[in-house]
Amino acid sequence: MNKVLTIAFNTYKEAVRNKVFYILVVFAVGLLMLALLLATLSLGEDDRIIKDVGLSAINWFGLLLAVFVGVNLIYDELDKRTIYTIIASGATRWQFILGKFLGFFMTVTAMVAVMGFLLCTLIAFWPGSNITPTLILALILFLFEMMIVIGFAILFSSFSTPVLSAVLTLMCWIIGHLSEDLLEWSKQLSDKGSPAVAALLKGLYYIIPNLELYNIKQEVVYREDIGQLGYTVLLHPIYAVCATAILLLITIVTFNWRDFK
Amino acid sequence: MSILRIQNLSKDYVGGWGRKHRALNNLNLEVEEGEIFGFLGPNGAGKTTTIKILLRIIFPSSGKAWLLDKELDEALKMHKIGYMPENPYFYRFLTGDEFLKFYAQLTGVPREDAKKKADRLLKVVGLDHARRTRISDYSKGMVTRIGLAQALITDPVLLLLDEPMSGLDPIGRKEIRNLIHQLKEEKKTIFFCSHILADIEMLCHRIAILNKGNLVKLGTVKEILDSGPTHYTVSFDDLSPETLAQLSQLAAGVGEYGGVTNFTATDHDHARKLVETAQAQGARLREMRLDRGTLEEYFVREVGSRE
Repeated sequence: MNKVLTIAFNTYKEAVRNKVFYILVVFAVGLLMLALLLATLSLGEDDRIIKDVGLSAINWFGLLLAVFVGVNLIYDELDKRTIYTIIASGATRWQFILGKFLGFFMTVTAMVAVMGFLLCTLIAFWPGSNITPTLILALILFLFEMMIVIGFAILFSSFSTPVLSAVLTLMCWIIGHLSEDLLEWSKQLSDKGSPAVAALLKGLYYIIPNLELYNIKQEVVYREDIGQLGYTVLLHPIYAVCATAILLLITIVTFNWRDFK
Repeated sequence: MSILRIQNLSKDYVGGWGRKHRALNNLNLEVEEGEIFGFLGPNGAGKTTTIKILLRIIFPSSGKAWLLDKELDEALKMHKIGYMPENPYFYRFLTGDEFLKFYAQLTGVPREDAKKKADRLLKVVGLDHARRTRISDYSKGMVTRIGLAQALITDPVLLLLDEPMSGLDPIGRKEIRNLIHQLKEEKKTIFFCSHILADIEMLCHRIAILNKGNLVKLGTVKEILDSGPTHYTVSFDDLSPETLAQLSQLAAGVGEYGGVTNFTATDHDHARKLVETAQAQGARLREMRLDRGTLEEYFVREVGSRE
Protein backbone atom coordinates (compact mmCIF):
# COMPACT_ATOMS: atom_id res chain seq x y z
CA MET A 1 0.00 0.00 0.00
CA ASN A 2 3.00 2.31 0.60
CA LYS A 3 3.79 2.31 -3.11
CA VAL A 4 0.18 3.17 -3.96
CA LEU A 5 0.27 6.11 -1.53
CA THR A 6 3.67 7.30 -2.80
CA ILE A 7 2.32 7.35 -6.37
CA ALA A 8 -0.91 8.99 -5.12
CA PHE A 9 0.90 11.83 -3.32
CA ASN A 10 3.13 12.37 -6.35
CA THR A 11 0.07 12.57 -8.62
CA TYR A 12 -1.55 15.06 -6.23
CA LYS A 13 1.62 17.14 -6.17
CA GLU A 14 1.80 17.07 -9.97
CA ALA A 15 -1.82 18.19 -10.35
CA VAL A 16 -1.68 21.04 -7.83
CA ARG A 17 1.55 22.33 -9.38
CA ASN A 18 -0.13 22.31 -12.79
CA LYS A 19 -1.13 25.75 -14.05
CA VAL A 20 -4.43 24.33 -15.34
CA PHE A 21 -5.46 23.62 -11.74
CA TYR A 22 -5.00 27.25 -10.71
CA ILE A 23 -6.69 28.58 -13.83
CA LEU A 24 -9.74 26.42 -13.07
CA VAL A 25 -9.79 27.52 -9.41
CA VAL A 26 -9.57 31.20 -10.44
CA PHE A 27 -12.42 30.79 -12.94
CA ALA A 28 -14.52 28.92 -10.41
CA VAL A 29 -13.96 31.63 -7.79
CA GLY A 30 -14.94 34.19 -10.45
CA LEU A 31 -18.19 32.30 -10.99
CA LEU A 32 -18.88 32.32 -7.24
CA MET A 33 -18.44 36.09 -7.33
CA LEU A 34 -20.92 36.18 -10.21
CA ALA A 35 -23.38 34.30 -7.99
CA LEU A 36 -22.92 37.07 -5.43
CA LEU A 37 -23.60 39.74 -8.05
CA LEU A 38 -26.72 37.98 -9.34
CA ALA A 39 -27.96 37.57 -5.77
CA THR A 40 -27.56 41.31 -5.21
CA LEU A 41 -29.63 42.05 -8.32
CA SER A 42 -32.42 39.60 -7.55
CA LEU A 43 -35.41 40.35 -5.37
CA GLY A 44 -36.08 37.84 -2.59
CA GLU A 45 -34.40 34.99 -4.49
CA ASP A 46 -30.87 35.82 -3.36
CA ASP A 47 -30.42 32.73 -1.15
CA ARG A 48 -31.53 30.38 -3.93
CA ILE A 49 -29.38 32.12 -6.54
CA ILE A 50 -26.21 31.97 -4.45
CA LYS A 51 -26.72 28.27 -3.75
CA ASP A 52 -27.81 27.40 -7.28
CA VAL A 53 -25.05 29.28 -9.13
CA GLY A 54 -22.47 28.40 -6.47
CA LEU A 55 -23.13 24.65 -6.62
CA SER A 56 -23.29 24.76 -10.42
CA ALA A 57 -19.87 26.46 -10.52
CA ILE A 58 -18.39 23.74 -8.30
CA ASN A 59 -20.03 21.01 -10.40
CA TRP A 60 -18.89 22.36 -13.75
CA PHE A 61 -15.33 23.14 -12.76
CA GLY A 62 -15.00 19.87 -10.86
CA LEU A 63 -16.17 18.06 -13.97
CA LEU A 64 -13.78 20.01 -16.21
CA LEU A 65 -10.87 19.13 -13.93
CA ALA A 66 -11.89 15.48 -13.66
CA VAL A 67 -12.28 15.07 -17.41
CA PHE A 68 -9.58 17.23 -18.95
CA VAL A 69 -6.80 16.54 -16.45
CA GLY A 70 -8.00 12.99 -15.70
CA VAL A 71 -7.78 11.82 -19.31
CA ASN A 72 -4.09 12.80 -19.43
CA LEU A 73 -3.17 10.96 -16.24
CA ILE A 74 -2.18 7.61 -17.73
CA TYR A 75 -1.66 8.80 -21.29
CA ASP A 76 1.08 11.27 -20.27
CA GLU A 77 2.90 8.61 -18.26
CA LEU A 78 2.91 6.31 -21.29
CA ASP A 79 3.68 9.02 -23.82
CA LYS A 80 6.59 10.48 -21.85
CA ARG A 81 7.66 7.02 -20.66
CA THR A 82 7.81 8.05 -17.01
CA ILE A 83 5.96 4.80 -16.31
CA TYR A 84 9.10 2.84 -17.33
CA THR A 85 11.09 3.97 -14.32
CA ILE A 86 8.07 3.46 -12.04
CA ILE A 87 7.71 -0.17 -13.16
CA ALA A 88 11.50 -0.63 -13.00
CA SER A 89 11.34 0.59 -9.39
CA GLY A 90 9.32 -2.49 -8.52
CA ALA A 91 5.82 -0.95 -8.46
CA THR A 92 3.27 -3.24 -10.06
CA ARG A 93 0.81 -2.04 -12.66
CA TRP A 94 -2.20 -2.27 -10.33
CA GLN A 95 -0.36 -0.18 -7.74
CA PHE A 96 0.34 2.39 -10.42
CA ILE A 97 -3.31 2.61 -11.56
CA LEU A 98 -4.64 2.73 -8.00
CA GLY A 99 -2.04 5.35 -7.01
CA LYS A 100 -2.88 7.57 -9.98
CA PHE A 101 -6.60 7.27 -9.21
CA LEU A 102 -6.23 8.06 -5.50
CA GLY A 103 -3.89 10.98 -6.17
CA PHE A 104 -6.23 12.53 -8.67
CA PHE A 105 -9.28 11.96 -6.50
CA MET A 106 -7.38 13.79 -3.73
CA THR A 107 -6.83 16.68 -6.15
CA VAL A 108 -10.50 16.95 -7.12
CA THR A 109 -11.43 16.68 -3.42
CA ALA A 110 -9.03 19.53 -2.62
CA MET A 111 -10.59 21.70 -5.33
CA VAL A 112 -14.15 20.94 -4.22
CA ALA A 113 -13.13 21.54 -0.59
CA VAL A 114 -11.61 24.96 -1.38
CA MET A 115 -14.61 26.04 -3.47
CA GLY A 116 -17.11 24.53 -1.02
CA PHE A 117 -15.44 26.46 1.80
CA LEU A 118 -15.67 29.70 -0.20
CA LEU A 119 -19.34 29.07 -1.01
CA CYS A 120 -20.14 28.30 2.63
CA THR A 121 -18.31 31.48 3.72
CA LEU A 122 -20.36 33.55 1.23
CA ILE A 123 -23.60 31.98 2.46
CA ALA A 124 -22.63 32.42 6.12
CA PHE A 125 -22.08 36.14 5.65
CA TRP A 126 -25.08 36.71 3.37
CA PRO A 127 -28.10 38.10 5.27
CA GLY A 128 -31.04 35.69 5.36
CA SER A 129 -29.02 32.79 4.01
CA ASN A 130 -27.66 29.85 5.95
CA ILE A 131 -25.62 26.71 5.48
CA THR A 132 -27.96 23.71 5.45
CA PRO A 133 -27.06 20.01 5.90
CA THR A 134 -28.38 19.37 2.37
CA LEU A 135 -25.76 21.80 1.00
CA ILE A 136 -22.95 19.87 2.70
CA LEU A 137 -24.50 16.58 1.53
CA ALA A 138 -24.68 17.93 -2.04
CA LEU A 139 -20.93 18.66 -1.96
CA ILE A 140 -20.15 15.21 -0.56
CA LEU A 141 -22.38 13.45 -3.11
CA PHE A 142 -20.75 15.45 -5.89
CA LEU A 143 -17.38 14.04 -4.81
CA PHE A 144 -18.75 10.52 -5.18
CA GLU A 145 -20.02 11.39 -8.65
CA MET A 146 -16.53 12.66 -9.52
CA MET A 147 -15.10 9.40 -8.21
CA ILE A 148 -17.02 7.53 -10.93
CA VAL A 149 -16.14 10.11 -13.61
CA ILE A 150 -12.41 9.82 -12.74
CA GLY A 151 -12.79 6.03 -12.95
CA PHE A 152 -14.09 6.43 -16.52
CA ALA A 153 -11.38 8.97 -17.42
CA ILE A 154 -8.61 6.63 -16.19
CA LEU A 155 -10.14 3.62 -17.94
CA PHE A 156 -10.33 5.42 -21.29
CA SER A 157 -6.94 7.13 -20.95
CA SER A 158 -5.28 3.74 -20.39
CA PHE A 159 -5.94 2.72 -24.00
CA SER A 160 -6.84 5.79 -26.06
CA THR A 161 -5.76 9.35 -26.81
CA PRO A 162 -6.70 12.23 -24.48
CA VAL A 163 -9.19 13.72 -26.99
CA LEU A 164 -11.03 10.43 -27.51
CA SER A 165 -10.89 9.71 -23.76
CA ALA A 166 -12.41 13.12 -22.98
CA VAL A 167 -15.20 12.56 -25.52
CA LEU A 168 -15.96 9.09 -24.16
CA THR A 169 -15.85 10.25 -20.53
CA LEU A 170 -18.18 13.17 -21.24
CA MET A 171 -20.53 10.82 -23.09
CA CYS A 172 -20.63 8.54 -20.07
CA TRP A 173 -21.29 11.56 -17.83
CA ILE A 174 -24.19 12.69 -20.05
CA ILE A 175 -25.65 9.18 -20.30
CA GLY A 176 -25.22 8.77 -16.53
CA HIS A 177 -27.34 11.86 -15.95
CA LEU A 178 -29.98 10.68 -18.42
CA SER A 179 -30.16 7.25 -16.85
CA GLU A 180 -33.84 7.39 -15.81
CA ASP A 181 -34.83 8.84 -19.20
CA LEU A 182 -32.95 6.04 -20.99
CA LEU A 183 -35.21 3.44 -19.40
CA GLU A 184 -38.31 5.45 -20.29
CA TRP A 185 -37.14 5.95 -23.91
CA SER A 186 -36.29 2.27 -24.13
CA LYS A 187 -39.87 1.33 -23.13
CA GLN A 188 -41.35 3.80 -25.62
CA LEU A 189 -39.13 2.60 -28.48
CA SER A 190 -39.90 -1.00 -27.67
CA ASP A 191 -43.61 -0.23 -27.92
CA LYS A 192 -43.07 1.60 -31.21
CA GLY A 193 -41.34 -1.40 -32.77
CA SER A 194 -37.62 -0.47 -32.50
CA PRO A 195 -36.36 -3.34 -30.34
CA ALA A 196 -32.68 -2.97 -31.32
CA VAL A 197 -32.41 0.69 -30.27
CA ALA A 198 -34.55 -0.06 -27.22
CA ALA A 199 -32.16 -2.87 -26.22
CA LEU A 200 -29.18 -0.56 -26.76
CA LEU A 201 -30.66 2.12 -24.50
CA LYS A 202 -31.57 -0.50 -21.91
CA GLY A 203 -28.01 -1.86 -22.08
CA LEU A 204 -26.58 1.64 -21.52
CA TYR A 205 -28.97 2.08 -18.59
CA TYR A 206 -27.53 -1.02 -16.94
CA ILE A 207 -23.86 -0.40 -17.87
CA ILE A 208 -23.43 3.32 -17.10
CA PRO A 209 -23.92 4.23 -13.43
CA ASN A 210 -26.83 6.52 -12.65
CA LEU A 211 -25.10 9.83 -11.90
CA GLU A 212 -28.32 11.74 -11.36
CA LEU A 213 -28.45 10.08 -7.92
CA TYR A 214 -25.68 12.47 -6.87
CA ASN A 215 -27.49 15.62 -7.97
CA ILE A 216 -29.57 17.05 -5.10
CA LYS A 217 -29.28 20.69 -6.13
CA GLN A 218 -33.05 21.10 -6.27
CA GLU A 219 -33.34 19.94 -2.67
CA VAL A 220 -30.60 22.36 -1.60
CA VAL A 221 -32.07 25.33 -3.47
CA TYR A 222 -35.65 24.77 -2.28
CA ARG A 223 -34.55 24.20 1.34
CA GLU A 224 -35.98 20.76 1.56
CA ASP A 225 -35.18 19.02 4.79
CA ILE A 226 -32.39 16.44 4.60
CA GLY A 227 -34.78 13.84 6.02
CA GLN A 228 -36.98 14.10 2.91
CA LEU A 229 -34.19 12.71 0.78
CA GLY A 230 -34.69 9.38 2.50
CA TYR A 231 -32.17 6.99 3.90
CA THR A 232 -31.44 5.57 0.44
CA VAL A 233 -29.19 8.59 -0.11
CA LEU A 234 -26.73 6.94 2.26
CA LEU A 235 -26.43 4.01 -0.13
CA HIS A 236 -25.33 6.21 -3.02
CA PRO A 237 -21.71 6.48 -1.83
CA ILE A 238 -21.54 2.68 -1.59
CA TYR A 239 -22.91 2.45 -5.14
CA ALA A 240 -20.22 4.94 -6.30
CA VAL A 241 -17.42 2.99 -4.60
CA CYS A 242 -18.61 -0.28 -6.19
CA ALA A 243 -18.97 1.28 -9.67
CA THR A 244 -15.50 2.87 -9.41
CA ALA A 245 -13.99 -0.40 -8.18
CA ILE A 246 -15.39 -2.19 -11.25
CA LEU A 247 -14.02 0.52 -13.58
CA LEU A 248 -10.57 0.33 -11.94
CA LEU A 249 -10.63 -3.45 -12.09
CA ILE A 250 -11.30 -3.37 -15.83
CA THR A 251 -8.48 -0.81 -16.24
CA ILE A 252 -6.05 -2.93 -14.23
CA VAL A 253 -6.89 -6.15 -16.09
CA THR A 254 -6.39 -4.55 -19.51
CA PHE A 255 -3.31 -2.63 -18.33
CA ASN A 256 -1.69 -5.68 -16.75
CA TRP A 257 -1.11 -7.53 -20.01
CA ARG A 258 -0.37 -4.57 -22.19
CA ASP A 259 2.96 -3.94 -23.91
CA PHE A 260 4.04 -0.34 -23.47
CA LYS A 261 5.41 0.96 -26.78
CA MET B 1 29.66 -15.55 -11.92
CA SER B 2 26.92 -14.62 -14.36
CA ILE B 3 24.47 -12.10 -12.97
CA LEU B 4 22.05 -11.88 -15.89
CA ARG B 5 21.03 -14.83 -18.04
CA ILE B 6 18.98 -14.41 -21.19
CA GLN B 7 17.74 -17.55 -22.90
CA ASN B 8 16.06 -17.77 -26.32
CA LEU B 9 14.40 -14.40 -25.89
CA SER B 10 12.14 -13.39 -28.79
CA LYS B 11 9.62 -10.65 -29.30
CA ASP B 12 7.05 -10.34 -32.05
CA TYR B 13 5.02 -7.19 -32.52
CA VAL B 14 1.68 -7.52 -34.23
CA GLY B 15 1.03 -4.76 -36.75
CA GLY B 16 -1.92 -3.90 -38.96
CA TRP B 17 -3.92 -6.84 -40.40
CA GLY B 18 -2.35 -9.12 -37.80
CA ARG B 19 1.03 -9.00 -39.55
CA LYS B 20 3.86 -10.05 -37.22
CA HIS B 21 7.18 -8.28 -37.03
CA ARG B 22 10.00 -10.00 -35.15
CA ALA B 23 11.90 -7.34 -33.18
CA LEU B 24 14.09 -9.80 -31.28
CA ASN B 25 15.05 -13.27 -32.38
CA ASN B 26 16.26 -16.00 -29.98
CA LEU B 27 18.66 -13.88 -28.00
CA ASN B 28 21.03 -15.79 -25.74
CA LEU B 29 23.61 -14.11 -23.55
CA GLU B 30 25.04 -13.87 -20.07
CA VAL B 31 26.40 -10.84 -18.27
CA GLU B 32 29.12 -11.37 -15.67
CA GLU B 33 29.16 -9.75 -12.26
CA GLY B 34 31.03 -6.43 -12.08
CA GLU B 35 31.51 -5.97 -15.82
CA ILE B 36 30.43 -3.15 -18.10
CA PHE B 37 28.64 -4.99 -20.85
CA GLY B 38 28.14 -3.11 -24.09
CA PHE B 39 24.95 -3.81 -26.00
CA LEU B 40 25.15 -2.21 -29.40
CA GLY B 41 23.42 -2.13 -32.70
CA PRO B 42 21.90 0.28 -35.20
CA ASN B 43 18.50 1.86 -34.60
CA GLY B 44 15.79 -0.79 -34.60
CA ALA B 45 18.25 -3.61 -33.83
CA GLY B 46 16.27 -4.75 -30.77
CA LYS B 47 18.34 -3.16 -27.98
CA THR B 48 15.52 -1.21 -26.35
CA THR B 49 13.13 -4.13 -26.88
CA THR B 50 15.52 -6.32 -24.85
CA ILE B 51 15.72 -3.75 -22.07
CA LYS B 52 11.95 -3.35 -22.00
CA ILE B 53 11.54 -7.11 -21.65
CA LEU B 54 14.06 -7.19 -18.81
CA LEU B 55 12.03 -4.49 -17.04
CA ARG B 56 8.66 -6.19 -17.76
CA ILE B 57 7.52 -3.09 -19.63
CA ILE B 58 6.73 -5.48 -22.49
CA PHE B 59 6.35 -9.25 -22.40
CA PRO B 60 8.44 -11.67 -24.49
CA SER B 61 6.80 -13.84 -27.15
CA SER B 62 9.11 -16.65 -26.04
CA GLY B 63 12.21 -17.21 -23.93
CA LYS B 64 13.15 -16.18 -20.44
CA ALA B 65 15.66 -14.18 -18.45
CA TRP B 66 16.95 -14.45 -14.89
CA LEU B 67 18.76 -12.04 -12.65
CA LEU B 68 20.86 -13.73 -9.97
CA ASP B 69 18.90 -16.90 -10.80
CA LYS B 70 15.65 -15.17 -9.91
CA GLU B 71 12.70 -14.58 -12.20
CA LEU B 72 12.54 -10.98 -13.46
CA ASP B 73 9.30 -10.14 -11.62
CA GLU B 74 10.90 -11.18 -8.35
CA ALA B 75 14.16 -9.35 -9.12
CA LEU B 76 12.23 -6.15 -9.87
CA LYS B 77 10.23 -6.44 -6.65
CA MET B 78 13.50 -6.89 -4.76
CA HIS B 79 14.82 -3.72 -6.43
CA LYS B 80 17.83 -5.48 -7.91
CA ILE B 81 17.66 -3.55 -11.17
CA GLY B 82 18.33 0.16 -11.71
CA TYR B 83 17.23 1.67 -14.99
CA MET B 84 17.92 4.85 -16.84
CA PRO B 85 15.84 5.34 -20.01
CA GLU B 86 16.95 6.87 -23.29
CA ASN B 87 16.21 10.62 -23.49
CA PRO B 88 14.81 10.57 -19.98
CA TYR B 89 11.76 12.69 -19.29
CA PHE B 90 11.09 12.81 -15.61
CA TYR B 91 8.46 14.52 -13.50
CA ARG B 92 9.33 18.09 -14.36
CA PHE B 93 7.32 19.61 -11.52
CA LEU B 94 9.55 17.97 -8.89
CA THR B 95 12.84 19.36 -7.63
CA GLY B 96 15.92 17.11 -7.85
CA ASP B 97 15.67 16.42 -4.15
CA GLU B 98 11.93 15.56 -4.25
CA PHE B 99 12.44 13.43 -7.35
CA LEU B 100 15.01 11.17 -5.70
CA LYS B 101 13.01 10.93 -2.48
CA PHE B 102 9.96 9.90 -4.51
CA TYR B 103 11.84 7.01 -6.13
CA ALA B 104 13.42 6.03 -2.82
CA GLN B 105 10.01 5.84 -1.13
CA LEU B 106 8.61 3.98 -4.12
CA THR B 107 11.18 1.27 -3.51
CA GLY B 108 10.23 1.02 0.15
CA VAL B 109 13.04 3.08 1.67
CA PRO B 110 11.80 4.75 4.91
CA ARG B 111 11.37 8.54 4.75
CA GLU B 112 14.49 9.41 6.83
CA ASP B 113 16.69 7.02 4.89
CA ALA B 114 15.24 8.33 1.62
CA LYS B 115 16.46 11.81 2.49
CA LYS B 116 19.94 10.53 3.34
CA LYS B 117 20.12 8.50 0.13
CA ALA B 118 18.94 11.44 -1.96
CA ASP B 119 21.55 13.72 -0.33
CA ARG B 120 24.35 11.24 -0.97
CA LEU B 121 23.39 10.58 -4.60
CA LEU B 122 22.96 14.27 -5.40
CA LYS B 123 26.57 14.71 -4.32
CA VAL B 124 27.74 11.64 -6.28
CA VAL B 125 26.23 12.93 -9.54
CA GLY B 126 27.32 16.52 -8.85
CA LEU B 127 23.84 18.02 -8.50
CA ASP B 128 24.02 19.09 -4.87
CA HIS B 129 23.78 22.74 -5.94
CA ALA B 130 20.56 22.06 -7.92
CA ARG B 131 18.71 20.03 -5.29
CA ARG B 132 15.95 22.66 -4.93
CA THR B 133 15.71 23.41 -8.65
CA ARG B 134 12.78 21.92 -10.55
CA ILE B 135 13.72 19.32 -13.16
CA SER B 136 11.97 21.47 -15.78
CA ASP B 137 14.84 23.96 -15.31
CA TYR B 138 17.60 21.34 -15.63
CA SER B 139 19.89 21.15 -18.67
CA LYS B 140 20.00 17.90 -20.66
CA GLY B 141 23.22 16.86 -18.93
CA MET B 142 21.69 17.51 -15.52
CA VAL B 143 18.59 15.44 -16.43
CA THR B 144 20.87 12.57 -17.44
CA ARG B 145 22.76 12.83 -14.15
CA ILE B 146 19.58 12.90 -12.05
CA GLY B 147 18.40 9.91 -14.12
CA LEU B 148 21.54 8.05 -13.18
CA ALA B 149 21.02 8.95 -9.52
CA GLN B 150 17.45 7.65 -9.77
CA ALA B 151 18.71 4.36 -11.18
CA LEU B 152 21.12 4.04 -8.25
CA ILE B 153 18.66 4.85 -5.49
CA THR B 154 18.06 1.21 -4.52
CA ASP B 155 21.73 0.29 -4.73
CA PRO B 156 20.91 -2.23 -7.52
CA VAL B 157 23.14 -5.11 -8.57
CA LEU B 158 22.45 -4.49 -12.24
CA LEU B 159 22.25 -1.10 -13.89
CA LEU B 160 20.52 -0.87 -17.27
CA LEU B 161 21.59 2.28 -19.10
CA ASP B 162 19.76 2.91 -22.37
CA GLU B 163 21.72 5.38 -24.52
CA PRO B 164 22.88 7.33 -21.46
CA MET B 165 24.97 9.78 -23.48
CA SER B 166 22.47 10.48 -26.20
CA GLY B 167 22.31 14.19 -27.01
CA LEU B 168 24.99 15.23 -24.51
CA ASP B 169 27.81 17.64 -25.36
CA PRO B 170 31.46 16.43 -25.04
CA ILE B 171 31.76 17.71 -21.46
CA GLY B 172 28.49 16.07 -20.44
CA ARG B 173 29.60 12.79 -22.04
CA LYS B 174 32.90 12.87 -20.22
CA GLU B 175 31.12 13.47 -16.92
CA ILE B 176 28.80 10.51 -17.47
CA ARG B 177 31.76 8.34 -18.55
CA ASN B 178 33.59 9.24 -15.35
CA LEU B 179 30.50 8.37 -13.33
CA ILE B 180 30.23 5.00 -15.05
CA HIS B 181 33.92 4.31 -14.34
CA GLN B 182 33.29 5.23 -10.72
CA LEU B 183 30.37 2.77 -10.59
CA LYS B 184 32.54 0.01 -12.02
CA GLU B 185 35.03 0.60 -9.22
CA GLU B 186 32.13 0.11 -6.82
CA LYS B 187 31.65 -3.35 -8.44
CA LYS B 188 28.35 -2.51 -10.11
CA THR B 189 27.36 -4.55 -13.14
CA ILE B 190 26.40 -2.25 -15.99
CA PHE B 191 24.42 -3.17 -19.08
CA PHE B 192 25.33 -0.33 -21.38
CA CYS B 193 23.10 0.04 -24.39
CA SER B 194 24.28 2.42 -27.10
CA HIS B 195 24.98 2.98 -30.75
CA ILE B 196 27.77 5.45 -30.00
CA LEU B 197 30.69 3.13 -30.66
CA ALA B 198 33.45 5.34 -29.26
CA ASP B 199 31.72 5.28 -25.86
CA ILE B 200 31.33 1.51 -25.95
CA GLU B 201 35.00 1.06 -26.91
CA MET B 202 36.15 3.31 -24.08
CA LEU B 203 33.94 1.83 -21.38
CA CYS B 204 33.08 -1.79 -22.05
CA HIS B 205 34.95 -5.01 -21.54
CA ARG B 206 32.58 -7.32 -23.38
CA ILE B 207 30.06 -6.46 -26.04
CA ALA B 208 27.16 -7.95 -27.95
CA ILE B 209 26.28 -6.63 -31.38
CA LEU B 210 22.67 -6.85 -32.43
CA ASN B 211 21.27 -6.31 -35.90
CA LYS B 212 17.64 -6.67 -37.01
CA GLY B 213 16.84 -8.54 -33.82
CA ASN B 214 19.67 -11.08 -34.21
CA LEU B 215 22.84 -11.39 -32.16
CA VAL B 216 25.67 -11.06 -34.68
CA LYS B 217 28.71 -10.95 -32.38
CA LEU B 218 29.50 -11.56 -28.72
CA GLY B 219 32.94 -11.24 -27.14
CA THR B 220 35.48 -8.93 -25.53
CA VAL B 221 36.31 -5.68 -27.30
CA LYS B 222 39.89 -6.94 -27.77
CA GLU B 223 38.79 -10.25 -29.31
CA ILE B 224 36.46 -8.48 -31.68
CA LEU B 225 39.02 -5.89 -32.77
CA ASP B 226 41.76 -8.52 -33.12
CA SER B 227 39.48 -10.60 -35.34
CA GLY B 228 39.50 -7.80 -37.93
CA PRO B 229 42.36 -6.82 -40.27
CA THR B 230 45.40 -5.19 -38.61
CA HIS B 231 48.31 -3.18 -39.98
CA TYR B 232 51.38 -1.29 -38.76
CA THR B 233 51.94 2.45 -39.05
CA VAL B 234 55.57 3.68 -39.14
CA SER B 235 56.20 7.44 -38.78
CA PHE B 236 59.36 9.45 -39.51
CA ASP B 237 60.38 13.11 -39.03
CA ASP B 238 62.05 15.19 -41.77
CA LEU B 239 62.67 12.67 -44.55
CA SER B 240 64.86 13.60 -47.52
CA PRO B 241 63.08 13.45 -50.90
CA GLU B 242 65.20 10.40 -51.89
CA THR B 243 64.34 8.44 -48.74
CA LEU B 244 60.66 9.40 -49.08
CA ALA B 245 60.62 8.10 -52.65
CA GLN B 246 62.34 4.86 -51.67
CA LEU B 247 60.08 4.17 -48.67
CA SER B 248 56.96 5.03 -50.68
CA GLN B 249 57.84 2.26 -53.09
CA LEU B 250 58.26 -0.24 -50.25
CA ALA B 251 55.21 0.72 -48.15
CA ALA B 252 51.59 -0.32 -48.64
CA GLY B 253 50.50 3.29 -48.20
CA VAL B 254 51.83 6.73 -47.38
CA GLY B 255 50.43 9.94 -45.86
CA GLU B 256 51.67 13.16 -44.27
CA TYR B 257 50.21 15.00 -41.29
CA GLY B 258 51.85 18.09 -39.74
CA GLY B 259 55.36 17.42 -41.05
CA VAL B 260 55.26 13.74 -40.00
CA THR B 261 55.27 11.10 -42.75
CA ASN B 262 53.31 7.91 -41.99
CA PHE B 263 53.86 4.66 -43.87
CA THR B 264 51.53 1.67 -43.75
CA ALA B 265 53.07 -1.79 -43.42
CA THR B 266 51.08 -4.99 -43.81
CA ASP B 267 52.84 -6.93 -40.99
CA HIS B 268 55.66 -6.71 -38.46
CA ASP B 269 58.45 -7.85 -40.86
CA HIS B 270 57.29 -5.37 -43.45
CA ALA B 271 57.36 -2.58 -40.84
CA ARG B 272 60.87 -3.57 -39.67
CA LYS B 273 62.16 -3.48 -43.25
CA LEU B 274 60.80 0.06 -43.63
CA VAL B 275 62.51 1.15 -40.40
CA GLU B 276 65.86 -0.41 -41.36
CA THR B 277 65.79 1.19 -44.81
CA ALA B 278 64.99 4.63 -43.41
CA GLN B 279 67.56 4.44 -40.61
CA ALA B 280 70.29 3.35 -43.06
CA GLN B 281 69.71 6.69 -44.78
CA GLY B 282 69.87 8.68 -41.55
CA ALA B 283 66.14 9.22 -41.05
CA ARG B 284 64.77 9.57 -37.48
CA LEU B 285 62.02 7.10 -36.41
CA ARG B 286 59.19 8.83 -34.61
CA GLU B 287 56.75 5.99 -33.94
CA MET B 288 55.87 2.42 -34.91
CA ARG B 289 52.48 1.12 -33.81
CA LEU B 290 50.03 -1.71 -34.41
CA ASP B 291 46.64 -0.45 -35.65
CA ARG B 292 43.76 -2.84 -35.04
CA GLY B 293 41.05 -0.67 -36.55
CA THR B 294 38.27 0.80 -34.49
CA LEU B 295 35.05 -0.70 -33.26
CA GLU B 296 33.30 1.62 -35.69
CA GLU B 297 35.19 0.09 -38.62
CA TYR B 298 34.33 -3.39 -37.37
CA PHE B 299 30.70 -2.45 -36.85
CA VAL B 300 30.31 -0.89 -40.29
CA ARG B 301 31.96 -3.94 -41.85
CA GLU B 302 29.85 -6.50 -39.95
CA VAL B 303 26.49 -4.76 -39.83
CA GLY B 304 26.86 -3.02 -43.18
CA SER B 305 27.59 -6.33 -44.96
CA ARG B 306 24.31 -7.76 -43.67
CA GLU B 307 22.14 -4.87 -44.91
